[in-house]
Amino acid sequence: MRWRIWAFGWIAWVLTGCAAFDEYEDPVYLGRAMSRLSYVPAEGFREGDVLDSLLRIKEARLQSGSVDLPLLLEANRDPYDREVPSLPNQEGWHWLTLTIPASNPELHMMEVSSSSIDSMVVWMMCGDRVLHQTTAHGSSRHWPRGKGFGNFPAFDLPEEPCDDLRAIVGMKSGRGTPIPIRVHERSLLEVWQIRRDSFFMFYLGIMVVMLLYNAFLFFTLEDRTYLLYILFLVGVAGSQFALNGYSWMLGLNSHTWLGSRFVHFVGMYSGITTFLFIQRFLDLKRLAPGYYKTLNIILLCYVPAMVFLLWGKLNVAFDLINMPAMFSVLVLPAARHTMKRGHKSARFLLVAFSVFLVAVTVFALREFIPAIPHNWFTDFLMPIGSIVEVVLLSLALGDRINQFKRESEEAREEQLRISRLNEQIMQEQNAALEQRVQERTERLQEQNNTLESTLAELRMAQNQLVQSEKLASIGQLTAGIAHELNNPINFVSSSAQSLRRDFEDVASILQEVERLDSEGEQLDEAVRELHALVKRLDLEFTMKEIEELLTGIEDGAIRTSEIVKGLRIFSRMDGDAITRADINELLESTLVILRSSLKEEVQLHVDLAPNLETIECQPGKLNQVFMNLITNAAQATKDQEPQDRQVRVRTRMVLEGDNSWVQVAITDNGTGMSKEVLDHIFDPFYTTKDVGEGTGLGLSIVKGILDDHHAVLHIDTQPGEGSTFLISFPA
Amino acid sequence: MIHVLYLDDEEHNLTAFRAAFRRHFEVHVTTDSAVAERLLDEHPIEVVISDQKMPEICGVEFFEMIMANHPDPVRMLLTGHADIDAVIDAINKGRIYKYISKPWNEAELKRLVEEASEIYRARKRSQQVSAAYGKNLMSIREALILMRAECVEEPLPTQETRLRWISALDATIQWIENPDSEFHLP
Repeated sequence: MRWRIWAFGWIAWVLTGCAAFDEYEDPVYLGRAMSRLSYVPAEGFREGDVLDSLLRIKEARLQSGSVDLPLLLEANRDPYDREVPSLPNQEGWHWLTLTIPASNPELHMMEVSSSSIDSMVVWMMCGDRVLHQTTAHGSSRHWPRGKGFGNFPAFDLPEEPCDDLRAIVGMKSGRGTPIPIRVHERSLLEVWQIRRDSFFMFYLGIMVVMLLYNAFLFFTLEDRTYLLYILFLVGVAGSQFALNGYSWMLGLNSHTWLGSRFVHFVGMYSGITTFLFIQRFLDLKRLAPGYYKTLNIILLCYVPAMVFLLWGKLNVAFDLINMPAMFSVLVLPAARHTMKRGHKSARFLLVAFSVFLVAVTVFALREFIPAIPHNWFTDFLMPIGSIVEVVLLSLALGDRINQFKRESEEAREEQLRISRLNEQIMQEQNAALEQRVQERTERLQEQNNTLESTLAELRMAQNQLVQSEKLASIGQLTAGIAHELNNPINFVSSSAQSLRRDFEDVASILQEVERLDSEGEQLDEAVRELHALVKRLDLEFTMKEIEELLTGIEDGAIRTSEIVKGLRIFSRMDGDAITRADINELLESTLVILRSSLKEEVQLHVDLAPNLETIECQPGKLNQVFMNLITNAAQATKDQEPQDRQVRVRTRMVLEGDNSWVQVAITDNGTGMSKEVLDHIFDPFYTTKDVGEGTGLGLSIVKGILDDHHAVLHIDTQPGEGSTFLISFPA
Repeated sequence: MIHVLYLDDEEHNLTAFRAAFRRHFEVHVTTDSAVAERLLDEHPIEVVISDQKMPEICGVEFFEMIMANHPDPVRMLLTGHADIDAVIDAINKGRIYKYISKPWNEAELKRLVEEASEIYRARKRSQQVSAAYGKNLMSIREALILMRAECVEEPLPTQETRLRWISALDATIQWIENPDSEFHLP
């Protein structure tokens, strides 16, 4: 790629050059034949005043219509040995004396091939005789161009033959410039001009095409680089046109204020736009900030140049304008630098500028190295170089589009690759994720199962505990009932047996009495025997005993049935069903069961209010509550002597506004509870009893049952002074 | 007739008991422990039956109470339900022969009372025998002491013989006084 660009640049340059070059003979340059006046003060003039003085003289003479030629000729003492003389970049008039080769009839005109001369005066002399004089300033019509051809000043050679034909030329310019002065036939000069014109038309065509093309790109892409390119292109082309004397096209007279400064302005404009374009094109701000700053500083040089230009110091301004142009060499390392940082299009710029710089260098060196000829090729070196430059840069800009396209394509491909990669990664991750989710789910499931089974076990354990609590109360109940029942059963069954024997005794007496009837004659005997029997069997005692036994049996039956009744109330086989019940009745049935076990242990005081309202409740459950609380109360007193152990059970009706309450208070004078114990008594499995004595569930079950009944439980306790459990049932 | 004392706070039990056993035993019943003690003093009671659960005093306590003055009668505890603590107490403290649960089986209770009575009588007999035996031993001891005194005073063939006899008598007396020691003649 790179070598192709280079090859294109150089080949295009050379080919364009060749196309412009033709077989016409080179013009005759008069450089070696002329002498220069500058810097050599004439006798009687002070150094430094020379030019002004001469100018004054010249002006004076011109005004008078004559010139002090001897003075001028006398000052002519610096022979010139170059083919093309150079006008130094100094203010004022510069004088040359030219020796025109011996009369060649073919030579008709003398052309000063420079557009840089602002004012000019020529004397044609044969020997010491002035043949004619021409002033070429002030008005364009004095320029040969005005006469019909040529961009450069041209003068007719005198027609009369002369062996010592000389021209004394005075020139004034706002800038230093080489002045190729050549003499030739007028037709040839015209041909040259035509060729120059056609070359520059071609040049203008290319430039316009480039301009339009890039303008189109600018409006299409709205990339300001194209705008800068267009401005740059205008500068390049403009400076080439101006340098080659085409400012007349704008109607500018070199003598006028603007005409004399036009090249300066164009040069400045071209320099500024070039630098700005380069900065933009190479993206120096981003890629090479050092070069960017340097170029900005260089651009500042144009400020004093502008000042001097406006002030009228054209030559100083010209130096100042040329200075930054020299720094344009910096473009090459800058381009190189940005290339290294990945700016591929910089290569075009590198080629373009190196071609242009070589052209400029060759153009400039032409004056100092005689080996470089002044010919078409070297004349048009700069425009050709600028064409190559402009075209290459346009290509570079085109390449920028390609590069953008490529970059965007690469970016898209990269995007695609990344997205594919992402997709792949996503898929893999998804798979992994799914796997993990699967594992996690299984683990969770497992944990869930474990939890469920644990929960089930816990529930079972809890049920068992609740059950065991129930069993414990049933055991307590059975023990109480057993004693309570066994006594009556004992005496009833025993009495029944005894009664049978007693009855047998009585029956045997009755048999004797019956026999008394049948054995009428032996009545006395029989009566005596009967008496004996009655005495032996102690009938009176037996009858009394029978009486007692029957009473016992009756009593036993009543008591047994009462116990069974109490038991039924207590246990209420319909336990969970809600019915209206009398709390007193429930308490009494509970006490029936507890009394036998408690009566040996504690002093039980029962104080039940007679006018209690019945309440909606689950009687079986409440019995469990009362039994639990009363048993606890009794156990709380166990550290004391039996006669001191007090348990009090009371009920009462409380009216409180519209609400009425059935209250049950169970009070003991036992150990009481501390705050810490009180905080925990309803916690399941919390117990202050020894291991194995309580499940710790009793009060938690009590609490649950009371909550179900919307009952309020208030506990009043002091350690060492006993506790009162006050239950308030809403009536 | 075997004298049986029955203590229970339940009047009907007493009636039933007397009705059941008055034909076989001399039955004494009461609800009052103080009366029971007096009955023990007044009658040669061989078997004492007491209910465990009573409001003023429990069965085991009653047995402990009468232990000092009436150690001989055989004791039986009657209770409404099996209370293991009461059983343990009864056996350890009250030296209970049998533990009977209510309701009682009449035949079995009768047999138990008879067995208890056997034990009581056997115990009494052995007491009498051992008392008689002890009495005999004492009289032998006194005789031996007399013999020893005579041995000291009476002339004997040799001094050596005298001493041998005396020591033999001493060992025998000592043995009688302390029957647990081992008896051997020097």
